[in-house]
Amino acid sequence: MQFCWFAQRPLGLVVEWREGNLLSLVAACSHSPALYRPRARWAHIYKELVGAVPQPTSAAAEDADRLDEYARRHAVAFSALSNAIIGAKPAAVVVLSTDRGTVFDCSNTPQLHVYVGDDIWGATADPSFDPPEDLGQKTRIRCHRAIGAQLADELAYAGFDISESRGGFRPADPERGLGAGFLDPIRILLAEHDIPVVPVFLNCSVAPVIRGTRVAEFGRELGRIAAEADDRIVILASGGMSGDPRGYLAGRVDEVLDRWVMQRLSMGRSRDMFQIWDVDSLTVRGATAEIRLWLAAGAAAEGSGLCGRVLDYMPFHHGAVGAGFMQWGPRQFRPER
Amino acid sequence: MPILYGCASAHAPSLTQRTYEGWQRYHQFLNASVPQPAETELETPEVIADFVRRGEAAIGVLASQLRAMRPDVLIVVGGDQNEWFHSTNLPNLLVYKGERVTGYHNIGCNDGEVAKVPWEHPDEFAVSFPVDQVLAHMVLEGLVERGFDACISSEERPRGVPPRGGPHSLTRQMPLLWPENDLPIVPVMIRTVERSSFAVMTGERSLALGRALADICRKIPKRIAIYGSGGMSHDPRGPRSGWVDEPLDRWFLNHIQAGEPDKLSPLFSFQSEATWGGTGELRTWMAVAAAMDEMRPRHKAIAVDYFAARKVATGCGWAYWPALDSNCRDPDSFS
Repeated sequence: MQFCWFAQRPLGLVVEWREGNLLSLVAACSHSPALYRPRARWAHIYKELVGAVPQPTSAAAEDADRLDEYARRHAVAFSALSNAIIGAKPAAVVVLSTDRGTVFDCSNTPQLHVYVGDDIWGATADPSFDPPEDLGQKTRIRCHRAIGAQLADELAYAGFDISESRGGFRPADPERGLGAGFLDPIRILLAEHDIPVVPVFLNCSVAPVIRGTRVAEFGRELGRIAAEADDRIVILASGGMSGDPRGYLAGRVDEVLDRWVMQRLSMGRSRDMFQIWDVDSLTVRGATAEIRLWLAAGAAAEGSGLCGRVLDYMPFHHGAVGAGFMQWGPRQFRPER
Repeated sequence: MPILYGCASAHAPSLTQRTYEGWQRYHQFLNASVPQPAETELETPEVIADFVRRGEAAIGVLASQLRAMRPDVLIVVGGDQNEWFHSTNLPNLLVYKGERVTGYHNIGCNDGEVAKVPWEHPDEFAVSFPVDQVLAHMVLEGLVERGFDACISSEERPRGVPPRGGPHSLTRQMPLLWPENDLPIVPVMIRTVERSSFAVMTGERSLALGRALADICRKIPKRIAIYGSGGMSHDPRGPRSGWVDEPLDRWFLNHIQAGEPDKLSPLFSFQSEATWGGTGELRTWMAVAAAMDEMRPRHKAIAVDYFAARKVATGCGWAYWPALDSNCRDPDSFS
C-alpha cells in the first residue's frame, strides 16, 4: 500500500511529498549466547546451558560437521538481516526483546517498557561464556530519543500501560546493564553502521505475563506508529525460539512448535499464536516464552501489509534454542539468501 | 463481594497543618516563583483557619464512613512523585504486593517554630501499614487477565531522590483515614503527573481501570473499600502554581454527584498545561468513580466539601459514594 502526505513546515508553506508507508521491514531472530560467539566456544557454552540435563537423541546429530554448517548458516542469516536493515535506511531500529533480570528487579517489573534516551549500555562479555580477558568491557549503544518518545507517547495514548525511562539508565544490575538479548543483535547487526536504536522491553517471564492477544495488540500498535512516523523505522525482535536454557528441559528444542510458528507468521496469521501461553506446560516456559516477541513482530508487520519469509531455521541444541531467522517486507520482496 | 464503599480526597500537604504559619511555609515553598492570582491575598489567617477546620471535618467524614462499613481491606489508587519510582523506570500502572508499605506522613511538620522535613525525623513521622498480599496478587492477575499491562512489584525499593519511602499518596492519607494503621491496603499505583512526558494513561483508560478493579473484586469474599488519593486541580511549583482551576473541579464534582463517571472520559484525552502537574491525580478519582458505577450503575457521590486554596495551590475536594450492602444496594433502602 502506497500513499503520500502533504507536510507543512513552520514559518512557511513548503509542500513536501513523503512516501508512506514508512514501515518497510520487520525482522526477528532467535537469541542464544552461542549464536553470537565463535564456533570454537560452542562446546563450552553448551555445557553451561544444559548442565547435567539428559540430552535428546537428536542432539547427537550435532557433530563437528553439522555445527560447522550451522555456523555458516548463522553467518548467512545475520548477513541477510543486516543488509536488509541497512538497505532500509532507517532513522532508528526498534529492538524488541525481554529483560532477564539485569535491567529491572522485583520492585518494579514492567510488562511493556520503552527506553527514551540518548544512549544505553551493556556488558559486552558474560562470565559464564567468555574468557576472563574479555570481561569488564561495556558497549555503549546510541539511541534515538525522539522516536522513543514518540513511541511511548503514542502507545500510552492508544491505551497501553507502558513504563518508560526518560531520566537515564539505572539498571538493576549495575555491572551487566542492558541484557544480551538486546545487546548482541545490536552489536552484530547494527553497530558498524551506527544506526540508533530504541529498546522496547516486553515481559516474557515474570508472572503474570500479558496474554497473547495483548501482545499482538501491542505489536499492531507498534507497527502502526512506526508506519505513521515522520522517520523510517525498522522493527527487530530478538529472543526465543523454543528452548529452556539452564532449565529443566535444557538442550531440548521443540522444532514442531517453532516450524508451526514460522509457518503461521509466513501466512500472515499471527492470530493463530494467541493461545500458546494460555496453556501452562513445560514447553511454553524458558526461551519459548520469548516467542511472544515474534508474535509482536508478526502483528506489527501484518498491520502494515508486510509479508513474512523464513530466512532459516535449525534446531540448535548447542545453543539450547531453536534458531530461527525471519524477515517481513513488501509483498513482492524476496529475502537475500 | 462487590466493592462496598468508595471515597476520594485531596492530599495537599497543607491540609495536615493546623496553623497559619504552617500554611504560609508551604505557600512559600510551592508558589514563590509564580505570580499569584488576586484571590491569594484573600486567604487571611481567618480564612486559613476555616480551611483547616473544613479539611479536618471532611476527611473525618470519609474516615467515619469507612469505619462504619467495617472494611477488611482498602484498595488505594494513588500516584508517585519521585518516591518509589524514578524517571529511569516510570510505570503507568503498577500493583504492589509486598508485605508492607513504609514511609512518612507530614502531619504538623510545618506547624512548629522550626519546619521539619518528615524523612529526617523518622521517630516522629515514620508510618507503616500492612498490605493484603492475597488480594493484591488477585488484583494484579485480574488486571493482566483483563488486558491491563500492570507492572509487578513485590518489594519496596524506593528509588526517589532523596529517599522518601513510600508514595505520599499512601503515607499521608492512611493515618487520617485509619489512624491505627492496621487496615490492610492494596496499592494500585498509576502515573498521574504528565509534566516530564505525555506517555500517561488517558481518562478513558483510568475509567476502564476502575471498572476492571470492581469486576475483579466482585467475587472476592472480603469487605472491600476503594480510595482515590490526590487532586483536585493543582500544579504545585509548576507554571500554574496557585491558579486553581475551579471550573474543572466543579465540572468533575457535578458529574460524579450525578452518577455519570463516563462523562469524565474527555479529561486527559488531550494535552494541555491545564492537565500537567498534580491535576493528573484526578485519574485516581476517575478510577474510583468508575468502580462504584460498576458496582451500582449511576451510584451518586456525595461531595462533602470543596474549596480552592491558592496558598496550597490546590482545589481541595472530598467525596464519597455511600456504602452499599453486599447486593449493591444502599443499606438504607432495605425494606
